Amino acid sequence: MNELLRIDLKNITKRYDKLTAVDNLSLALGPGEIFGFIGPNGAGKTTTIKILATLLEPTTGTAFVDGINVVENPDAVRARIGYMPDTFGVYDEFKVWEYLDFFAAAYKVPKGDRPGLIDLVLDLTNLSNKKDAYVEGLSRGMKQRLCLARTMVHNPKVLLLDEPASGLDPRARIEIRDLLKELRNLGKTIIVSSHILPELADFCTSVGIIEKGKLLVSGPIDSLIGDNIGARVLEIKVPAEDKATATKVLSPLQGVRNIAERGEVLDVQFDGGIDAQNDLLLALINAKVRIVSFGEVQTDLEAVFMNLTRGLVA
Amino acid sequence: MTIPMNPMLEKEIRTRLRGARAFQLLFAYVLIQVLIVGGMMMMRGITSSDVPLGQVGEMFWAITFWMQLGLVTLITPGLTSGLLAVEREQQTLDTILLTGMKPVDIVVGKLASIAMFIVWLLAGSLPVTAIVFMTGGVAPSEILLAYVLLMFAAMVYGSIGIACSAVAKTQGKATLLAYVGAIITFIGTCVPAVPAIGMVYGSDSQVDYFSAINPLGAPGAAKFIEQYFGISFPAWLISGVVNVCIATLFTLLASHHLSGCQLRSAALLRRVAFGMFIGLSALLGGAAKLSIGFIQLFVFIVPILLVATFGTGARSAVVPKGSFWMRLFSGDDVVSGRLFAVATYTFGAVVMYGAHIAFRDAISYSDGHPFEPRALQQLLISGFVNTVALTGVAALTMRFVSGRWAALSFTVIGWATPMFILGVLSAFLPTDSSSSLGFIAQTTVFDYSLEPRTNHWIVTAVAGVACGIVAKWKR
Repeated sequence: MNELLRIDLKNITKRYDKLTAVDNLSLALGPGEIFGFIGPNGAGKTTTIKILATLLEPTTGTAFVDGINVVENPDAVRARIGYMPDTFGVYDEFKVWEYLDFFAAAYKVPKGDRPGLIDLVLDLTNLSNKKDAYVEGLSRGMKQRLCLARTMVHNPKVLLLDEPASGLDPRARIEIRDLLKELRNLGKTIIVSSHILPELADFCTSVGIIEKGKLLVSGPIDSLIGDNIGARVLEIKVPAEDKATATKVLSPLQGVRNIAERGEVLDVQFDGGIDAQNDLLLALINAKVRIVSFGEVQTDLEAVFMNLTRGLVA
Repeated sequence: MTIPMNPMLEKEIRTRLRGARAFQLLFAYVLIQVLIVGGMMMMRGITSSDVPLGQVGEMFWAITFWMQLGLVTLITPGLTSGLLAVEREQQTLDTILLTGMKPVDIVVGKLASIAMFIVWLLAGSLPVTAIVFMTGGVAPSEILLAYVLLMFAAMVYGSIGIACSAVAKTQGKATLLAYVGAIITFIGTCVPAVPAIGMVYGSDSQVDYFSAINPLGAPGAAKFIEQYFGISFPAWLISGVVNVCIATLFTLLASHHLSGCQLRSAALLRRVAFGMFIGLSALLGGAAKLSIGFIQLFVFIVPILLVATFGTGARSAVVPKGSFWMRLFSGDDVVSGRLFAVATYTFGAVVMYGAHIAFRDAISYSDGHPFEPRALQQLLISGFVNTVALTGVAALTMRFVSGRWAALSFTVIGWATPMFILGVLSAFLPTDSSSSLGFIAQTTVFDYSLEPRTNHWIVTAVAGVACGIVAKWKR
């Protein structure tokens, strides 16, 4: 077991009677990593997070948080994680600071340390001016940030955030995002789940795509996009009369997966690096295809996601 | 100096007393009392008759107290049944559990806040009760004691409420269950309180056992003395102990369900329930007088076993390994869990039966009053022999049926069938000498003589061992 790993899932499987919610999932994360957990609703994100949060026991496999087995020693794990459920509740009759004070007390933070700590997390979540407001009166975005503040009162090493930005307006969403970036700088290991991709793309250090309980792919975003898995799409604009020739030239070439016509443009799905693209262009020119424009469509996480999950969702 | 405070208690107090709600309830509580008491004062019959003023005071005290009892009985389950269900509905329960706060701390913290709230209500109504001091006839110590007993009862209703709150999925169900539980408890505990109520009205009846577990008899409870095993105890002490036991059991039940019905807490719950059952049965067996009799025991104490067998949750069929009492027989976990359920009940029946015999013996030896040590001996031997027999029957039953209810009913049948056969045999076989088969059969079933029931014991033990052997052999 690697001591440096904050989160270590080994072949986790969770089965309910017939349904397999999580299927042989493995994952390892170190300090300072933000892992984006992407997948459609019901893919197994929440189940995985709940296993890490000691709320569910895996059917098979082992899970470690900071080197501690979540099944064998849940209490020690609980002290090291901050968990924000996808559907969370807050106590409406409480004031903001009372709410945090209650959780700090529940986490056995000494009474004398609590006021400073509360100020700290409120400052971090940008809620300082709401300290004496009733929770009831907060907007949804503020409640969500309060909930995040709550997950940090015991200074956990690992944050498990299940859909932290769902149901928020764009502004609140950006605020949450900035907050997460700040937390990353504090060296926390964070798992964020979402079914909306762009939400995660720009602050996660790595992402994993889960579908029907299986982790289809995971790794740093750059490599994920660059990898062959997400085939590049070349956009080649040719005059109508040359289309047939172009198609004929392209089809047999190595790495060409699919050619689709879109008006004047041919969308070519292509596995291959820059050199291979050069060769492809050269082949077209040699065949006297008059090319108006040639370019690679900017592939993003969304495309990777669509590409990977296509067969499974249908 | 700061006392480390249960965070849950602090939170509950903070939110409960926030806003006007709590004070509205206090106002309504006192108002109802003032209206009723005022109405009573205006009734001429009470104040202008020939009855001495002290007696009027006693009556007045009893009625104000019963009113409080009624209100507390109605309010407490309602307050506690929401405590955990609301956290579950708000989806805050997981979050609290993840803080590492122990489930028992959560339950106790919440219950303590309700207890303090009830004390607050009672304190608020003291001025109404204080009218008694104008008429005289009631000692302040009696009033204090009655209030303490009322708090014990409130703890029982409250713990039943919170247990329902932990078990039920929704708040509505929890509240319904809590009221049903509280009403059953109230009625069930009324029976031993009957003579105590009579004494409030000046009748010269004697209290028997547990006379103050229902505070209906509390207005006069300070005076009562109960006898167990020939020793005198004040009634309030015994009833306090019994109520605390029951409240503890339900509190454990609530925290067990809160922790997701884990094996460790299931085992604890079973042990506590079982120990409590035996303890209370023995206490009843040693009571000087059981005028209500055998059936009352079942109504009153058997529900404790229901908690042990049916309250331990989805995984109740599973018991911890290596815990002999929990397993009873080696085998797979599920079987031994069922076996536990069956054995618990049968053992319960045995203790009841033993208590009954002990009671009968006590009466026969000494006109029913002082405790007769020989009865205890009867109880122990009879208990042991019957345990052997019933464990055997249970083991055999478990070979053929599954499910706790099925197992239970089959065991009862298994227990009743030999009795029936023996009864029939005794009618046809010669009964002329003490060694004849018919006589043995007869005495096994119907013997109410005071001689040691050696025949009965031998037949029962042999039957039990035989069943056990068959069960082993079938495997």
